[in-house]
Amino acid sequence: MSPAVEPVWTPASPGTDFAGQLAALRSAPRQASAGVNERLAALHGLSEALLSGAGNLREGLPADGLAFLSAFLREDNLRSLIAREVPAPDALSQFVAIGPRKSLRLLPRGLVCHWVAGNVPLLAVFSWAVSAALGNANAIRLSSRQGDVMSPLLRSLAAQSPVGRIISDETLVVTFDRNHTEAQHAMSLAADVRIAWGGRDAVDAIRGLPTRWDCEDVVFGPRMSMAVIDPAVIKPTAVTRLVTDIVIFDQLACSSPQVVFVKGVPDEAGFDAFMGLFQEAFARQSAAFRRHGLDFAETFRISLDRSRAILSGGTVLRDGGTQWTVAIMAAPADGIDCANRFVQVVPYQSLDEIYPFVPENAQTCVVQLPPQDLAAFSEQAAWRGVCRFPNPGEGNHFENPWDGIGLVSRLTRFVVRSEAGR
Amino acid sequence: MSETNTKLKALMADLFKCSPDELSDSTGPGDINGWDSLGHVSLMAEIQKQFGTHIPVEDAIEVESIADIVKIIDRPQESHA
Repeated sequence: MSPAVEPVWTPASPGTDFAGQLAALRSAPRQASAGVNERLAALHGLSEALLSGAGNLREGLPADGLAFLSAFLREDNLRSLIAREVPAPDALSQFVAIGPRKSLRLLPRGLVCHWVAGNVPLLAVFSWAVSAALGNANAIRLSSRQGDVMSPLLRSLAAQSPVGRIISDETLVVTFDRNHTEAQHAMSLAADVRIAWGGRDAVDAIRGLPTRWDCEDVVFGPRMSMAVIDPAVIKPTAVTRLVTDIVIFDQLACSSPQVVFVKGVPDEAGFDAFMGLFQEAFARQSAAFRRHGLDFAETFRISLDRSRAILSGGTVLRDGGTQWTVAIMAAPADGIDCANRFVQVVPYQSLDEIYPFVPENAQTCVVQLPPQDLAAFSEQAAWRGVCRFPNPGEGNHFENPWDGIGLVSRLTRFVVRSEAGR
Repeated sequence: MSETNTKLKALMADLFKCSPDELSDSTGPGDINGWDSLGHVSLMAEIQKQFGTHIPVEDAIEVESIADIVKIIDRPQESHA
């Protein structure tokens, strides 16, 4: 193995070097491997182990992400995720009739290679779990900036059941420098599917690597998220959930709202009442969810952006330090970096005022609107690029589709058969 | 008090190591020790085991009280589709 490729989790029968390991994983016979039902049961068992805290499994995993992960791995959740996209989920196990003339069978694509961004390490687990449930082998390159979230999970899975052992044996986890050309090329050329998580530079670099002509690319790139709220229909508990969506991953997740559009005008009763609840919730949730330690540059940026907001005519609500900031602005200010619990609130009176501010890389728009407004807004904003319209509290729940991409169809081959005698 | 309500409170008292007397219909997440985000997922998992009711993530997020959970358990089950 090249000395700069650090093995994190190695399958039971590895090849002699990194490229050999990838080749062995890719060529291993999948047909005799475990079926989807057994795989879902094994992943459900992993969720149970996370909930019970057995075997120090929670160590090394971010506390705030544990609930997300254990809920995600539940068998019912994964089945719902598959059923949302596939008309006949049983096709993952056998040919299933889709109409009077045709049958459908879904098969794993083969080796799925994941490049994981350092900002939200649990993302690796989500895409790995879906891929593994569908019967693929997996190679995961963790960022050198993040801790190893995979090994404890794979160790637990392997000890849990024969199928858990199969899944863990079909998974290779490594870390290597992003400039390690040989390793990057080896992983890319071995991939039947490449999943790239990260910022623009990271995903462009991965997309530029040589690959098989039939390799499927799934890119979860740099996205921006927002929220649209009508104070007339939001309950105080939903305000708290909205703030949780903003603070829980310090806006490092693409799905964390950076701008919140609020119906009304400042000094009007409904708007001010909402802002009171919003401000209280920020103070409460910022204390409830521990934040990563800010470095000097991050702290300076918050102070700078507070000044920019005020100089732009905005009103800044904030704590005594740099825990949280709510800047009420007439329009979203591009120069303000909405990160580390810094959010811009923009009042609106008509939904039409919002559309010009929906960026083309929009991902999530958390919404709480009356039904007729939701129908009108979601149709227009979806055309402008928004991929999800979750309720407050659901903003960061990884779901399928994500970024407008149906993961199941990208991770499987759809095989169609005409029925005999037709 | 319904059978569901009584059984749920017994389950929660056991899970969160508290007395059933501490649990009222309006008790919600954060009101008792252990009912944090992870405790909430554990509770949903225990409900599935003991009641056979799967509570989707979207519904679990919106739970504000024990009364809400009782309503979910007692409503007809949804399919996965």
